[in-house]
Amino acid sequence: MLSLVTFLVIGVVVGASGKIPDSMAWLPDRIITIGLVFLLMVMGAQLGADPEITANISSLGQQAFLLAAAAILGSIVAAYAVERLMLWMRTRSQARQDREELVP
Amino acid sequence: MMRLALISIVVGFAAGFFFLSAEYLQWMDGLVDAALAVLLFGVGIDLGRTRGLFRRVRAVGLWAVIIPLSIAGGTLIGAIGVGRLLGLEVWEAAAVGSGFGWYSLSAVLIAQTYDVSLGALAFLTNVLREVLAVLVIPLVAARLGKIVAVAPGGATAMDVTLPIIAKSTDAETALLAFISGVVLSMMVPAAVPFFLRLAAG
Repeated sequence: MLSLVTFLVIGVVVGASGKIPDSMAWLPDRIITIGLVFLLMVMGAQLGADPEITANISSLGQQAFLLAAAAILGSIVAAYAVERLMLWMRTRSQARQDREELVP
Repeated sequence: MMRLALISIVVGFAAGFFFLSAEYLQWMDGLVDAALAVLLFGVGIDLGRTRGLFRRVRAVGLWAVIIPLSIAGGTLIGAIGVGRLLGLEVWEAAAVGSGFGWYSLSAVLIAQTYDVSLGALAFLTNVLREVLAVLVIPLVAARLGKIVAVAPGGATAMDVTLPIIAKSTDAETALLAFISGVVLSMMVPAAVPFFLRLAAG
């Protein structure tokens, strides 16, 4: 698993080095698409060949719906807190500016 | 991409269901490992090539990092909380949640390095996250504020859900959404293996 992240890091370094010309920009996209199609097919085959999974596929869907809804809800609550913080800091710095203008 | 991903899984599923046996599939392990390595190399190049990201981040300031990190944190708390109720292990639920909507990558990472049924759950969860995000973003933008509208899409805020965010908010928020989506996308290929390692104990 460590080696997988190593490949990721090597990719980032190669991509950020600017050594890949724009004329080759399609290459990483193509690599990703082909890799994902192949691996998703293998995942599909592994799922199809496993009788325990095929029997429970609808309960998997229900779990996924609840997890997705919870993930969205959690992220909304966190982003709402950050937005409040941003507004609070903005009004506070505005108030300080106003004070400084009043008291020279 | 979603149609292509669904077709790939359905074709594979049919092959697995009707023709291939589990023993036969084990022979592909070496090929799967090689494909994962090549895939992550490609993902890395793509992320590394993101032009002008640092310039844009500097224009937005520290919020460009705080917002995606808080979205990641909220996502993980939500996924772990409901995951526990559903009987998932803490780190398994965290791995599923840390797809942040990038269903294809999170699913194959989990299916091929940890457990295929958890990979299927990650695929469905993150596909549904994208679908639900498309539905709730306009509502969230109107009721809770523009910044909050960046959250539901997670990593997809840089591509699939970006037009919807842009339409429901303004140009400044759209830029923030793009940056947040890129940062979350960068976290996916690192966070998923990290939580899987914790799950494996």
